[in-house]
Amino acid sequence: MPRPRIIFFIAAGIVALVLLILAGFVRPVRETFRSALVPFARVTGSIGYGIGRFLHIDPDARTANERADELDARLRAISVDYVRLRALEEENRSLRAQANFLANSGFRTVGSRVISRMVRDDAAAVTIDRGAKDGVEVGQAVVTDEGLFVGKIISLGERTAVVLLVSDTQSRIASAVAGTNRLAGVVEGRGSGTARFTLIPQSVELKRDDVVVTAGTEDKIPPNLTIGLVNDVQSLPTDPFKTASIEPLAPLDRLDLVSVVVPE
Amino acid sequence: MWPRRILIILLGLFVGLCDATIVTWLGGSLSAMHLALPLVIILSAFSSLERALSAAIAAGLVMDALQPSFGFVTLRLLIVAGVIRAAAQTYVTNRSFAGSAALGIIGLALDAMVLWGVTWIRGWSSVPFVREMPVPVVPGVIWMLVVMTATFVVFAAFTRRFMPLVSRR
Repeated sequence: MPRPRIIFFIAAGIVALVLLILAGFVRPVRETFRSALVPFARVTGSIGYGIGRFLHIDPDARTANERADELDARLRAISVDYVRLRALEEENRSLRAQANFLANSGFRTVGSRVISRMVRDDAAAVTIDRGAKDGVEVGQAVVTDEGLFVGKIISLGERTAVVLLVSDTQSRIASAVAGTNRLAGVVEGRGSGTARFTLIPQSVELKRDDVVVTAGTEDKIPPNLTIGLVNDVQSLPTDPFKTASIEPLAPLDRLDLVSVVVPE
Repeated sequence: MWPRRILIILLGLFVGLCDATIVTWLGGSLSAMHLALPLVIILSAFSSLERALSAAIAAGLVMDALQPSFGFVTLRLLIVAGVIRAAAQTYVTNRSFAGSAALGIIGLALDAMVLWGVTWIRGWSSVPFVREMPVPVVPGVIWMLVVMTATFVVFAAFTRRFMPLVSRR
């Protein structure tokens, strides 16, 4: 049996630690410690990414093929829509903005690597190896190399930052339907890699395979970052708003390299 | 004794780094294969409280620093180390297979309870945070049983820890 004195010291140490953390005194120490760990975390994070990809080879090839066929069909349908959209001037502007979304927006990107993750059930967040010293701020958007919206920064260290992914149940993003350049609703995370487009006025035209983008009404998130595709729309005539389920286009379950969108 | 202490601390740092980075990439049931908690339980049950606490602090600080979620890992591991040590010396023997397995399960359950507690307390704050999800129950229990069994078998086979005290008189 441990001596009562030892137990007392352990309990006192724990209480002191909690108080120091709550008072914020631990932050400088934690930041220094975290900065020292980042180089090692980059290496082990890359190893983990490799192992994760190796282990996630879908054992059910038939399911994977069916899924690929379904996505192909959707892609073809979207391609047709894309051609139609090009014919319209307003949508054409929007598509140009999407294709080159950072060119004239006053934003640039800071490349970063995911070093730790918590992607399970309702929670979806990652730690990246860029922080305040790299110009990153809370609320900024994080995108993939293709410019697909991943999530936004919710907490910050000197050399690291935490990104809340779009599928996390706490995530809320002001969104629009591509080509409209108008706030249409809010994309809320639903967990397990899915999201929901809510608070859409009945007057907004929305159908399956429409592209949902960021609205640009949030301070640090530029407009026209692609969030996902509409899967299905639910609308009751008696409701003032309609909702839609969204399939995020960014591969949220296998993010490795991402970019933070920061002001120029 | 210091070289051994340093080794334990380095082992704790390494295990924490693996838990915070590599293990987070494993999906499904494999995500239950954490290393820090079993390490702390094994050190606490079969070695000494001092070593268990050293490993708990080293591994916990790394995980708290790197993980995106708020889980107070250091606090949880310290509590588990203390309780498992007390249990191993009083109510549950660490000298039997069943006792070792029970200590592992107690540690796992305690960790989940403390995680639930700190998440609940943290929920009172208005500052948003990422909740740490508990490990899946069945894979978590199986993983812990495998680790504790393997450790017990290794100790029994390669050390004199569990040999009866006999002597020629």
